[in-house]
Amino acid sequence: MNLDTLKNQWAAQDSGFDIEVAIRVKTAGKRSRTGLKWLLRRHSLFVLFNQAMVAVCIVLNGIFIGNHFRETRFLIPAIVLHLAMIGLIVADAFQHEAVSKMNFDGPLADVQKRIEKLAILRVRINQFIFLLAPAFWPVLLVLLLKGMLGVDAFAVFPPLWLIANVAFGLLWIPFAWFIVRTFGERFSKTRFGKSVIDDLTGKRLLRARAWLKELADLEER
Amino acid sequence: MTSETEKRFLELVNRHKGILYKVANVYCGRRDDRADLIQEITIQLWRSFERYDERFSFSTWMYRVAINVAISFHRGSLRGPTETVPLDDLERDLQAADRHLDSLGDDIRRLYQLIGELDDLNKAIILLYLEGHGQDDIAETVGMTVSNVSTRVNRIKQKLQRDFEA
Repeated sequence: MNLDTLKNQWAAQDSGFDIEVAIRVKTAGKRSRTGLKWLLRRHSLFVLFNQAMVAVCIVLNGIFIGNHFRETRFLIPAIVLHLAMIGLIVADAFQHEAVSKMNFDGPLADVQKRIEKLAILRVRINQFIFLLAPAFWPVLLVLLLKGMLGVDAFAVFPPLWLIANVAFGLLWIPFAWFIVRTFGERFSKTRFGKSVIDDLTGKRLLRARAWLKELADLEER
Repeated sequence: MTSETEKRFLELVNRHKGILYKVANVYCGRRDDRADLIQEITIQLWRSFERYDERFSFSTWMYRVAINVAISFHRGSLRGPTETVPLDDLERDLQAADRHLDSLGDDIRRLYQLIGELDDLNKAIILLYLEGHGQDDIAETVGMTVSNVSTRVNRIKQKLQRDFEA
């Protein structure tokens, strides 16, 4: 086989493909609720909604911090939650920015890098929410009880109860990790299930890193 | 976009529609996915068309969009929900194109098979090479240096040659 001599045959394929492009463009309207761009738009709307919700929580938590500035037992969990929420809102803003700039007519290395970085950020956020959210449960409980009902959780619940809840949050991380690694395959039969499991087990991250390295090599040499 | 723009878009895509078939054949491991991918590429071409600068080659621009969408589709980076628009007519067009491809001989079929085994980047490079794009063009489309293109093209050609003879 000689590739250069095959070029003529390669070009000859064109005459055999008689797709009606106009029909495909007309169906684009119907397809506006599916596909890549739709996914990006939906993603963008989700990010905006998420940002608005987190922003409201940050304001409320800020008021709470102001009201309980001298009470260390409430101040510390409130600041921990505040930092976590600020981290989330910054990550969301970054995602929103990346999505709004997404288009497919740039150089391959550049476009693919942006898509992959977005995917990595999404995976990180999913991992953070799935693995670390339960650890925030006692923090949230203490703050909600005080902020909304005026109840001091440290006074109402025995210290052992609070310690047990903190321990549950921390033990959840290795437990969830074990469950996902052990039983992940069972949930990977659908495309969605596989995508979630790959995100949580870090397989998606590994693939993304390998791909980014390949793209970086492309530009360096 | 205006109907004039749509007319111009259709005219240009119709002239280069073979690109859709070739990209779909190269990037879709499952033949059943080709119609979905072609539909997706067409939509992205239409949506990106307002950014197309007519001073540059349309086929190069079309390849950029098509390959970027194909790689994202193939890697599942941004895969959307299951298709909802019937693609029967497109399936029929693809089958007709497949019959035409068969009439061109076994070498092209084998070439597709071997290109299908390359990684996503090398697939893009060899596609552009077979399409007759120069090294500068390939470098710009892929986002790499010209010397890197030259090295890669030679390596891919050697690999394809070896595999073909094996």
